[in-house]
Amino acid sequence: MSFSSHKKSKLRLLLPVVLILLFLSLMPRAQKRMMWYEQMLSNIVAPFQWVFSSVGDGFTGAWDGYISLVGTNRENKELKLENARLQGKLARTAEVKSENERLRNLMGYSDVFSVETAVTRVVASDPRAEFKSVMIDKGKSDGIKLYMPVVGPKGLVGRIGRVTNGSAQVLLLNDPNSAVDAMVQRSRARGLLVGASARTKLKTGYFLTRLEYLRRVSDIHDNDVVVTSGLDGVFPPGLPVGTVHNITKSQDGIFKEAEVVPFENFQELQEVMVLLYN
Amino acid sequence: MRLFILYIIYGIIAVVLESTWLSGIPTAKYQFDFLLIAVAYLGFSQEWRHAVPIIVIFGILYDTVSAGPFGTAVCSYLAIYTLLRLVITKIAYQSLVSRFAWVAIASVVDKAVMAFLLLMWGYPTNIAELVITRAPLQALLDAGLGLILVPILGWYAGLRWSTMFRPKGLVMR
Repeated sequence: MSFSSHKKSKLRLLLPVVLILLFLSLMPRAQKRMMWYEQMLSNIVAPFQWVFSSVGDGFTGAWDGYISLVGTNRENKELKLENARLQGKLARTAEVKSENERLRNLMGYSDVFSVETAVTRVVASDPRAEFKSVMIDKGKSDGIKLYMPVVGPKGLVGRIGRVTNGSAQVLLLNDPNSAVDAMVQRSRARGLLVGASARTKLKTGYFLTRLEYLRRVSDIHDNDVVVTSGLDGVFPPGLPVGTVHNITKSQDGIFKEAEVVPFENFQELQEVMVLLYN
Repeated sequence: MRLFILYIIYGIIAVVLESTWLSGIPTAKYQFDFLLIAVAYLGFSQEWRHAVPIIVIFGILYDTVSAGPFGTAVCSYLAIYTLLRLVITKIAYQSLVSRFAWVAIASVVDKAVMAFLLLMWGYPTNIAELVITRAPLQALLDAGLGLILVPILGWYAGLRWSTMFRPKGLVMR
């Protein structure tokens, strides 16, 4: 085989490899790290880029820094750095402010109800889709007991279901097992608030509960606020629960039913407060 | 003992993932169940004396973190294992289609047992209805996951210290 045909066959083998690398580089990438071949090429190219860039910067710096605008260029760079640093600080401050606001809302409950409370973090959710519960990071050793009410910054979340020494399970309002004695705040019409995570007539992912056993003559309208009645002995009266939507007759026609959209978005719970009722 | 330890580690990691990062994935109504796939794998390949203790621990782990009645997962996983061991001599689980079908059947059995137990224990009937209506799509999801996970679990079951730390390039002639 002659030298040129040997060279040609090598080039022919190299071509598919280059094309594959090209197509792979064009694929949408979710990862932030470079692929190994990109890193290799980057390591070869980077020193040359650095040299050329430094030389260019040197010329530009000499013109801008000394000849055209003395000191302005340097001041501009310093101000940009300071701006970037302050932007980062602002983002961190916004997060702290948001957490502070959530915790303030929670602390409001302890003033209203004059009971001891325990602020906890939500650490896990129920792995079964049919049941709705979350785990919190405090338990018996913090005074938490079964059936204690749990509230969030916007309203009622549920009650304590199971407790261990260092954690507890909170049964959420929209769990099918949940039942809360509730009433319409405006008209005091009473009903039983049950979890209805199966049937959601509003938009997908919007967790609902249902107010059942309302008397047929009950004065209830859309957007009425629902609160706890306190008559079940578990939840104190007046805790905000949600708003009424879609009032219908029950299947047997004796009672009314209404879908209640909770104030709390159970998918976004981060901190909750346990009311330490005995 | 090796298999037991390996699968307990797997079970703990699976439950933690399902209740934290993977909670609500792919949707709020249908979620991954890695333990079910592991039970199916054990049913395909392991004898009862090795598999049953692991399955019991799986069930206990799952029931502990779930708001469902305690014992549901233990009973349903044992039922799935028993069913698979009964038919194991008559099926070819190595093929993709067969594996897909039997993991789907295992998922349906899991939901059916759960619904039955909920009714038996006096839970509201709407929960059992909910479980049954979601069973078909959940079975498809689990079967799809099983196609990927069952071979990985087979490799995982064969892990040994000697194979993990054997010097590479060693050739026995």
